[in-house]
Amino acid sequence: MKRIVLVVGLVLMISSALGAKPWVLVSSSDFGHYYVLDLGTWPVSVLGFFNISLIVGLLDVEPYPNNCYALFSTHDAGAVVRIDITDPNHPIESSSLDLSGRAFAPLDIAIPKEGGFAVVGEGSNMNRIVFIDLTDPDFKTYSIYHLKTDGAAAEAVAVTPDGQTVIICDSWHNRIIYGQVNESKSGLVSENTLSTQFLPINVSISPDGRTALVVNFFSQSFSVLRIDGPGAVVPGSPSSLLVWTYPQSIAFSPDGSRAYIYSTSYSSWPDRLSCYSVIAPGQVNPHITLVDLMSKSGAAYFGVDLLAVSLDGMLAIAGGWLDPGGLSQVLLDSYDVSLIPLKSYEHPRGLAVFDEALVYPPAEPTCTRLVNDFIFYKEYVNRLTWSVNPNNLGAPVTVRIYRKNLGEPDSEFQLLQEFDQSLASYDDRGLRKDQNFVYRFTSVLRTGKESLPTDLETNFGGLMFKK
Amino acid sequence: MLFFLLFSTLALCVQAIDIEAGFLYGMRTVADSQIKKVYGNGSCMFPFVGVNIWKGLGLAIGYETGFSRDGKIGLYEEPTTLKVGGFIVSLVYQHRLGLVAPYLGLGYGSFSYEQTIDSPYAFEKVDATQGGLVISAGIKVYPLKNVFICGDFKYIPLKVKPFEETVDLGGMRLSLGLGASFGL
Repeated sequence: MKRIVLVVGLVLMISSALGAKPWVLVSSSDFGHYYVLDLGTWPVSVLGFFNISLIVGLLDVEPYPNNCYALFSTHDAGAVVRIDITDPNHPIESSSLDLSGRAFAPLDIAIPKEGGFAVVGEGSNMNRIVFIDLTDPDFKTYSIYHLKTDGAAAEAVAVTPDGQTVIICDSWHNRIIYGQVNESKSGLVSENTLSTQFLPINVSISPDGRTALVVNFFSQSFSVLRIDGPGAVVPGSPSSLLVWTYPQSIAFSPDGSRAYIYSTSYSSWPDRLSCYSVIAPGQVNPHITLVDLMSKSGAAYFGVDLLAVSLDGMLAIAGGWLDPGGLSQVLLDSYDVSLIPLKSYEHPRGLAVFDEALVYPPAEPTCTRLVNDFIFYKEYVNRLTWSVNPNNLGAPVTVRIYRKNLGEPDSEFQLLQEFDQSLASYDDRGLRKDQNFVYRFTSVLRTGKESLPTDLETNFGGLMFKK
Repeated sequence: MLFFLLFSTLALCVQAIDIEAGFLYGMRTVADSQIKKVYGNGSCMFPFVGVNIWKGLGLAIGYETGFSRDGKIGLYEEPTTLKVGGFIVSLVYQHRLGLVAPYLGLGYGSFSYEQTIDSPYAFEKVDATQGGLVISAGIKVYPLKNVFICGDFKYIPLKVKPFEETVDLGGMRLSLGLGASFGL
């Protein structure tokens, strides 16, 4: 009994150290499957196994900054699929952007923390990337940007957190293309190139947006880049470093102080995780810590991130679907490695960590006093308006409006109405002339999670102001 | 009942009584611009009886009805109905000139009005009574000895204030009618 209590206590302690909420989305190479890992448990467990409607293998996966949606790329179907992940136990396919008519084969997806857009690289070597407007709730707005660089291909892409700079791996020409994102988030205002080594297949940018690493698959190396400003990228120090075996993916620790590189091999050598210290923007300490993984991928997935680091930086999950089948989990303080066993049909590809969904209150609430003249008497109406908060990035939220009398600080707010967010106006009717209120606006996710409120006080006959 | 009492009183006081009875139908305008905008002008009916008291001076009483108008009201154009009607008692002077008899009248009307609005937010009940002056004029034509055709004009200013707003429910009435006179 004591042993059981001790084990449970240890599990809780480790769970607490790992953080309670993050999850990992894992795309599968099989028939539109994907699954969710729960990082709040130890050992990491598979929370659920889900399907999209397309019967096609999924490649890269990238969550929105607000964790309400995630995008999957489907190279073979020419589509980017949006999944509602507000409830990690029950993700829902929300919509998909069909680019097959444009002969676009999506590979890598990059979403900056700011900017409200996604950049998608492709596998058809037609010198194009796609910019998708994530603020469009219908997920239909996109523009295809044709690279100006001759002979370019754009398999892997990365965007700085501020959404200003895009770095593209032109894998077959051993170079990167980089440039500044234009104001309309539909293309690049400038394009420049930097040489890399043989077959750059993936790129990642540090959380501070100052360091980029590019893995050169066949050179068994990675290039270090420093980002000096929007569209300004220069070689870092050192400009490249060798790694063991064939590097596939890069992930930074959340504080950006460490970089992890996942590499694979075509031989019996194990897949490996290489750990480096990022000592300054564009500067990587060449000292390496190598960890043998228990899973194996054995393939070059262009732009697909097969490595993810937990939000607290304590755990790495690395992909691989060859024998023995499963994912490797690495405790990054001790480099202890264990296997997350998967079933034979769970063939992992892209990985991405996501946290609890964030939801923001409606933006710009206003109140206008209207008089509804019934001739013999007047009804007073407060017309409330608001706009969709752009930070919600089209998340399916409902809007709640509460009300209480002005000047009654101790009274409770009463729910007035709940709306679909597309209804951006509500008339609070049946009021008397001298009635004034405090209105409270919130947004609510389908899980019931409610945003912080935005309050609006009315004082007709006086001033009206937003709190 | 009022008519019966009035008529009985007069019958007791006067030895020979000339009595008229008739019916008017016509247009009823609305003075208040908002009322007009929502409900528009309407029609009215006015059955009446009168009694000659002395040398062309008579007393008439009638009930005006028929003004019931539907409309759409307010910001939300909600369905509404306005009904106005009431008793009018007038002192009428009539001057007989052969086959015609022009007349003038001054009286008092007691009108009830009721507004209904099909809205959960119409929080006041408009159903009240208001009295006011009635000015009338007209002409009667007697094609037969005891039968007359009547053209009637009335102006009734009727300011009401059931709540905070004053509304003029008054207006003009232009009516044509038919009547008969007989003696008791």
